[in-house]
Amino acid sequence: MGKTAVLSMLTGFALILSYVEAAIPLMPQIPGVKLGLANLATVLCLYLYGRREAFLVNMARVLLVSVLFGNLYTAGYSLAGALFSFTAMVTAKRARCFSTVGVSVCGGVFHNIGQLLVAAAVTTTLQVFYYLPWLLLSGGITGILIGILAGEVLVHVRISQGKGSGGIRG
Amino acid sequence: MFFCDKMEKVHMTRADWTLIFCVFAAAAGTALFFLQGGRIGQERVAVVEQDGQEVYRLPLGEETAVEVFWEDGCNVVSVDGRGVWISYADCPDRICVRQGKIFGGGQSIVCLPHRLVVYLEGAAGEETLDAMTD
Ligand SMILES: [Zn+2]
Repeated sequence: MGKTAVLSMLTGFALILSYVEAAIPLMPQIPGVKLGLANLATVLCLYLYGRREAFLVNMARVLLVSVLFGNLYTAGYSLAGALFSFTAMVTAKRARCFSTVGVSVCGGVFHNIGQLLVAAAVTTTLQVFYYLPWLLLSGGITGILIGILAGEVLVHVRISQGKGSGGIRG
Repeated sequence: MFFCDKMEKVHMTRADWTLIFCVFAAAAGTALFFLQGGRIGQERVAVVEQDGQEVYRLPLGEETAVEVFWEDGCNVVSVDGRGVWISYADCPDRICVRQGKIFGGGQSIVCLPHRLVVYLEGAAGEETLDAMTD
């Protein structure tokens, strides 16, 4: 399968995950705060291809999700979360001391911190940071689960590549 | 092909565990801080004015009260963590006492006979968050 095909597939996968998590309202007070399931696609892309490809998939997801399920208001929150999370994950991966779990925990936690900062800017009050403990906890837990899942997938992808079975299989 | 027989586990590093510990410690720490009554942002202050002069500034927090005298009369202004109210007054109408507690949002308590005005200054807090969800 070609790279473009895999990247489109990952974007589609991210869209499905975004759709699923949109059905689970985590914190109705702050729009756009989600479990962060779609991060799985970003982590996979980051490890399989690299920063540029992961960034493209991430931005395509934010754009498509906003058009399909959201509005301009939630788009701002999603974008801030995605950019924060992406920068944190690239930095963590570069540090070379984390596994996919550490990288994904960084992504999950900073996704939520980014959205809190936007919420604080929009409402011009720091009171939104009362949600910080809960957002750290949920970001951390989803981060761990997604990190483990991504690690498993990558191990299998590498094994199937090693056996010469024609690259990445869906 | 996807479900191979050779199951490998993700190798979590020492840095992973340290990071996870730090995140959960930060969550627990901030939660404890807020549960213990820790506040963030601008401190809210109850301002007491008499005859146009500021006579008291009472930060909201622990429940306290001050007596404000005017000629023969007196009002007792009380604050707690959420708002300010006049708990006692010997003015003729007692309208100030009946007004109850105010929580900000531009409200004020007035005692005309004693020329007393009480209002809240600072971030609106909960009101702002509620407004956000509308
Ligand atoms: Zn009165």
